[in-house]
Amino acid sequence: MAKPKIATTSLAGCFGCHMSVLDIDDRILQLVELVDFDKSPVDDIKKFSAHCAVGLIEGGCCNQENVKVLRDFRKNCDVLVSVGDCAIMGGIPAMRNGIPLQECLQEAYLKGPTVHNPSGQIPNDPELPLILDRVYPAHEVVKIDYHLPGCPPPADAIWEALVALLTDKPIKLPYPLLKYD
Amino acid sequence: MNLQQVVPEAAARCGRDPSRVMDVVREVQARLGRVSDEAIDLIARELAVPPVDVKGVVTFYAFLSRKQKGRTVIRLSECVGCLGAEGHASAEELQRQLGIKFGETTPDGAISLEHTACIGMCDQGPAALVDEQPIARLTPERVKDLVAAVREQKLAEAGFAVADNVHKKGEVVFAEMEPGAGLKHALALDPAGVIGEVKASRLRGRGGAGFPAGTKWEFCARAAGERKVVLCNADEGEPGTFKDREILKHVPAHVFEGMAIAGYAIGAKEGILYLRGEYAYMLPALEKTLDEMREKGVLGKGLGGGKHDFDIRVQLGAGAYVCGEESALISSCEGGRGVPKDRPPFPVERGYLGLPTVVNNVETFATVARILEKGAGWFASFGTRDSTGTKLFSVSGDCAKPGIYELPYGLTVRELMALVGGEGAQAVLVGGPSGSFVKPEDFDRKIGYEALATGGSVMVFGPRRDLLEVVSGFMRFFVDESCGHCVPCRVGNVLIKERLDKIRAGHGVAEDLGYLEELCATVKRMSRCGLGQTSPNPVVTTLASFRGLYERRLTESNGLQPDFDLNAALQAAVKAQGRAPVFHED
Repeated sequence: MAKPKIATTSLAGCFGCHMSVLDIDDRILQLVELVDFDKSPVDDIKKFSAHCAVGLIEGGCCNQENVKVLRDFRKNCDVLVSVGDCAIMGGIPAMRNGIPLQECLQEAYLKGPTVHNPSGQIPNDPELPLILDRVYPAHEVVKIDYHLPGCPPPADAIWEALVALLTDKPIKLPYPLLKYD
Repeated sequence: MNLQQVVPEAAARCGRDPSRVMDVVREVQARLGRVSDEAIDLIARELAVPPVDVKGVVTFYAFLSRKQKGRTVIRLSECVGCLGAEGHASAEELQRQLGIKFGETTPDGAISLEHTACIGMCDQGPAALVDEQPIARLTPERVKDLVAAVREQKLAEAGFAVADNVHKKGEVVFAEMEPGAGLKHALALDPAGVIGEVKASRLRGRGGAGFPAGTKWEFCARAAGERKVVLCNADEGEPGTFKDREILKHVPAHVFEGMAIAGYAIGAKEGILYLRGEYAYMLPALEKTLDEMREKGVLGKGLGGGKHDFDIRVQLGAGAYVCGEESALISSCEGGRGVPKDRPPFPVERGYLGLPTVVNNVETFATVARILEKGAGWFASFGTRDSTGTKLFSVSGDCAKPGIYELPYGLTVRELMALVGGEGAQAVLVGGPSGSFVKPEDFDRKIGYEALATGGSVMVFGPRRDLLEVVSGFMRFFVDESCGHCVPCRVGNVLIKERLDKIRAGHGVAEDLGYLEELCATVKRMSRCGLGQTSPNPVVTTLASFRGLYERRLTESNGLQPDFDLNAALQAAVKAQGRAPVFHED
């Protein structure tokens, strides 16, 4: 039987959750025994090559492209997991949610105390995806099956969750993997 | 009038007592139309408390404001109970007549228009408060008269007064009673004997939680400490409850006598009646009753000719539902924000100012006076085994005869509906939003602590009501009234309302129902006080009894969230950046 495929993506995140995936250390060899990576920054596959069993989502949606990728994941994965606080509740990027978009852009590109921008332009290349009115956690855009909290979630938590999903067993997350501070 | 004059006067009036911040702040608000930051500093200096404490009070209560309000403030109740069918039209008409929106003040600074939560006029809505004056039956046609009366300052003659609305007087609370008879019998017993009598009556607290009153008194009597306090909870804020309004109007002396009896039983010399800000209009009459009772010797030094002293003061609130929770009530009485306290220690051990305190409902004290007058056996002959006596029901909503009904415990919802003319109801909410929605198949359930517990609120919803809109209105109420101290209540209620409104808008998917159930369970279990422990009930009980109402509005899910509108979410960027989105295909 072919190995199940998993896909991962970092939307409006910092790649910290992906780094935490790598933190499983030598268990990555076991992981490769268990699964094949499809679309993911880990192997730099840009487009889904096949239907995947599990999609790991890091980050929420801050722009049009994030939404497109996330919807793509929903279509191509059986199970989606929001990994980390940005995917689950917007996280740091969502700090702009209380501020109108226009003001955010002005502060970032025109008025901020460290801005040097003699042309006075706000980046507006057609290649740049338009940003959303606010940052949306993943589950407000598509159905998300599981949430794995943490900033980032510890490698062990990600490992336990993945193994549980792939082996169809109940997850065992001991208290230290779920507590904060 | 200026600050330098008003603040010292107000502070002097309460003896510069640092625990009376509320009274000073209320007076400043009433006389100057706001409590400015400058006023906050002055008050802090006068009472020798930190300015942040004063600011905390000003920002906590709905009737206090740092921003300038109009000389008159009109507050329309937005509670689903009294709004009824006409309320929305009245709200529109008020805005039209005044030329302002809710939250604004007329350009001449004369009138501010606001919304407020339930003001206890559920039986004669739509209702409003004009400063402290309640306005009943404010139908859209009468809005014009109200505005004219406010402008000409002729409100008293305009015919908006609260009408008497006691439809059924029972044997206990609303019966004739010889003034002082209960206290006389109490003083003939020793304090332990009084507590024994109350215990024998099996009287349970009338505020809703139903804790045995005698047991509570016993705990307090046993608590260590010379100085003890009797607190009467007249912060009747549960939407749909207005029984205390009628008790305080018709038989306030029963209540005060009950408090004096409690004082004798537990060894307290001081009593406080905490009157919700919405009922401030009753204050002069209550003060008059207190004076009369002092003259007759039922209150004051040497009660009823004996050695025991007991007196009562009235503390006014300023618009905060959570203050009906007993520990929040105590915080508010102490002059601070109405924030619930951790328990234990319970108020009977460490309550008001850290003193052993008995907190009971208005109706409980009125009932106590009658129990001591007529005996525990007489009282226990009414009602059922676990719920003795009669209970006041405040009936409002879609029925022919809304009002107060004093009836023995143990009657069924169906019997009550027959009395009030609410037979066609699609649902009856027993116990207010913190209680439960009862469906017609369950109308044979009995009202009492064994089955449907209630502090007295009974709201009838006719077949034409959109129940989920009602539920959403209650959730907005809880969101507004959460004190904000603990996360489950402050955040959880907002999330519950959001998900409910998503379903109402036709964007709900099947998973949302499970999510709501889980979230409600979390909020109920994790919240710090009774507000959050019961606030999800409108959703919980309708999900259980009226699940079809939710299911009918669900939509099929293809994995995308139906309420996420990409195009709408992009409009801010389209405007800011001046280009349209491009939708790339792979």
